[in-house]
Amino acid sequence: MNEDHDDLSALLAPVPAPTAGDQQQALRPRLELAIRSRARWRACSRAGLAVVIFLMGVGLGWFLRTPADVPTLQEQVRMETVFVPIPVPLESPVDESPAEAVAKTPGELELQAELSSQPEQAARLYRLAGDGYLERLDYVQANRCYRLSLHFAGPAGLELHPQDSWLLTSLKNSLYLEKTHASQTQTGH
Amino acid sequence: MTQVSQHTEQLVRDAVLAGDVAAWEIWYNAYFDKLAAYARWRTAGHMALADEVVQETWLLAIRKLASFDPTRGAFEAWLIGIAANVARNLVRSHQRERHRQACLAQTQRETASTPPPESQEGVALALAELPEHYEQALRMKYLEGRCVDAIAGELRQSPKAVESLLTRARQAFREAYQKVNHE
Repeated sequence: MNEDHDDLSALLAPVPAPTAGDQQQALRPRLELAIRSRARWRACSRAGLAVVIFLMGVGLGWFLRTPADVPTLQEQVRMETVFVPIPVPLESPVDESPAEAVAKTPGELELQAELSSQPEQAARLYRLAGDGYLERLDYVQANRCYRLSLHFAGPAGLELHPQDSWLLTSLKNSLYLEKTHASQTQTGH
Repeated sequence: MTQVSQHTEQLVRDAVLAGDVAAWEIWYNAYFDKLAAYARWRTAGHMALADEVVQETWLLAIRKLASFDPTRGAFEAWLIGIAANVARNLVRSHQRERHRQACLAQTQRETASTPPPESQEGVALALAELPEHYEQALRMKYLEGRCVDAIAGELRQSPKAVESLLTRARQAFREAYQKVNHE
């Protein structure tokens, strides 16, 4: 062992440092520059990594967004309602004034007719009241109103119209027959 | 390595990684001479190669400092490990270059044999050929001048095992040295 030790001691002995040259001071600026540039590089790398992660998160969020956020074809189609005017024939036997249109019930029409000072208007209102009573199957009241209407209308009210109800037509016919019979009777006497 | 020195080295490492040059000075002043002595020993006194080993080792240490973990070992051991690899590569590269130039000179002069390596270069080449644990044992013994017990404490082995390791390391060095000189 000692022989080995002595044999290699000459070859593996520490080499003394040279007297000239100061490598430690000469190398210092280069190492300091390397440290600073390395630190800057690491900072930039971290910032870049943060940006990349943020962008990946944004991209993932956009990719995984809920279907409710996605505009569907159904919602994109605008529903438009087109109003098509269809003429509907409304059966109105006589013209109604605004005041008559407001008073819809036969009783109110009858009251307006009683308060009216014009015979034509009273005849028209009684007729409307008669129509109303007839719709309600109140034949007695309808008959009374129709008779009053014919009374205020005079002889011209006996003319038949297609809009006349069956009761009014029947009353007009009976009154016409009564007048005709009366005139014939007077002529005969 | 104690917990305190581990913590200190961790702080110095983090400061250097953040760009603190003053923190780097602590390590640089403490280990420069040791590293330079090791480089001279590994290059067997070839001063140009030794300077190159020192420079490359420090630059490489700065570049790879993030991989240094104080809990796994001291900074000095980590630095010497880098220097060992740098020295091995540089010595082999230097030898290849020298061999190439010798071949060129032989072709020109048409001489019969290449000149044998010098004694210094033979030692450096033989050390470069050794496995890492043999090189470590010889370094502790001849460069650092430690006794067998101290080496055993450092390597956490018994003195008998260290003596055996040294014997095998010397034998391997002797064979490598003879092989290099006969090539």
